[in-house]
Amino acid sequence: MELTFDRLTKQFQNKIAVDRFSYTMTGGVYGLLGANGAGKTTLMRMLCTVLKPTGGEILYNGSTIERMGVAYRDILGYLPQNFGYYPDFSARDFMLYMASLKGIPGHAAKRRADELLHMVGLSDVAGEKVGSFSGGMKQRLGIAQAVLNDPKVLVLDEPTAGLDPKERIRFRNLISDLSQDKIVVLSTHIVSDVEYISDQIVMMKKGRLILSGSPAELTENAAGLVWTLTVPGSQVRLYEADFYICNLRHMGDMAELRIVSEEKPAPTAQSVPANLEDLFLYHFADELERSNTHPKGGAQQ
Amino acid sequence: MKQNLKKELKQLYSDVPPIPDSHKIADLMAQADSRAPALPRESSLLWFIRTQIRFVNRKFLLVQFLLICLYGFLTTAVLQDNDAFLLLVPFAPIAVLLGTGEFSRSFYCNMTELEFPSRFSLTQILLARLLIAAVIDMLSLSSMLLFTAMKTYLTFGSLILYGLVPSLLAAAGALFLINRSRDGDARYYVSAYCITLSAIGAISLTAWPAWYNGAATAVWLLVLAVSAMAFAAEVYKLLRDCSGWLECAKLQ
Repeated sequence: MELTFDRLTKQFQNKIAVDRFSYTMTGGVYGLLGANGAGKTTLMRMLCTVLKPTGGEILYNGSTIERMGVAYRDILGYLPQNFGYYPDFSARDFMLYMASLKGIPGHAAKRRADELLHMVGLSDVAGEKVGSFSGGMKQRLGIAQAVLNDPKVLVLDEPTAGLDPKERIRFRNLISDLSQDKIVVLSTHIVSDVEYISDQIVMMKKGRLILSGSPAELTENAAGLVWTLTVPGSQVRLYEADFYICNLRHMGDMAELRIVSEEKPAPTAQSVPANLEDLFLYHFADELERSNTHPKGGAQQ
Repeated sequence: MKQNLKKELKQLYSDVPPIPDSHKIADLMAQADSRAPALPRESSLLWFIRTQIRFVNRKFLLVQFLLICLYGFLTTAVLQDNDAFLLLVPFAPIAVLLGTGEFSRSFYCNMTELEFPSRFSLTQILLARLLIAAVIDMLSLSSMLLFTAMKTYLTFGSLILYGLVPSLLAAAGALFLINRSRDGDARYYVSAYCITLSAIGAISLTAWPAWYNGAATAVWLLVLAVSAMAFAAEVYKLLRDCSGWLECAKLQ
């Protein structure tokens, strides 16, 4: 089972959303990390045949997904970032409708729908209208429909956005349970959502692949980039102006800073092991909102 | 007794099969998976169209039914004889409006992105919905024609013209608007268009009664032909744009 992106490109008028993205995925969970506008959703839409690439191609087991057609869509499961529902549908109706789109007939569809509604914890509300569901319930229903056809390629676009921490943990555990013998591509800009369940992390920035590897490999390669420093509270602003600060903790008159920088920010700074969030900030800090001015450290363009 | 127990325990232990080699566990699981029955699949378009009937919005069916009941009541109990045809021209676009709402709900309910990567293409999904909506609209229109025919002197051919022309004009215009917007706003444009058409139809009965003389039949036939061709062209455009790669909807 192998999914290959070969110089995949997508251009919208003057904007290049995905720029010559090349990567190969085998079984496992792949976390697609990037700031807003990095090209994650566009990449996933191309993977799910929703959008046509401007250049390059996607191959599944050596065949282009365009040529495979129905055979590829049969092994695909997709949960988009924003999806709607028909207001007159109950959860069961929704599942049966999606089953009909996937060509699953009558009794098999009912059995599978009930099985999956039970798995995602919605069997008690299966008869209720989807419009009455909370955000977490809708997301669970979304993932249930995505795995109706027991897909080999499962694509989840920002599945935990807008969920509270409890729902996010529940969702993560559900994805882990469902990821056996599949390629799961999970996009997010919330690092903790992928840190614990992804086998591989793929980082995108401005449509390009900038980094990939297992979480352990990536954090190991980021050794020497993260520092802790304790400074007087009055000096915090000076450091905020010059460095990316991952974490700030006030302790009375002093403040403990966790800084991401290629250079040692101060003689008293101590190097500490990096985590994935530090790495994310290192690469994407220039794209994230900042309240202060120019950073000194951080990723080079 | 202790000896017997020991003997039995040894026997029990030797009867238990050895723990499989961990390397073979993956093979065993793969074999088990391959033996598990795969989900059955259907690929026939006819099967798909039949299954979609179950998912037609019940409110749509109810409103169509109420529309026919209202039409029937007004035609048979309220209007005078020979005036019954007056309702046909304004009511026909309303039936089509309800049908287009049902047909295009993927766009305004933001379901297109979920429906795209399915076994059945968006072309097939829209075709199924179009057929179902068209059949229901035709049944509504036929009911209206029957009610009207019971209470008017006009020939059935004329009634068909007065019913079919506004219906086709409404359908062609609605598809034209849907083809050019394909998002949640389409239903507002279509509603405005069909209601305007209905209003023009209602006004024309008093403002331009000459439209309904026998001499104007040729004009009606011409409009019928043009609207039928426009409808066919828009249906073709809709299905063509949705074939293959699917960028025909405005994605959020």
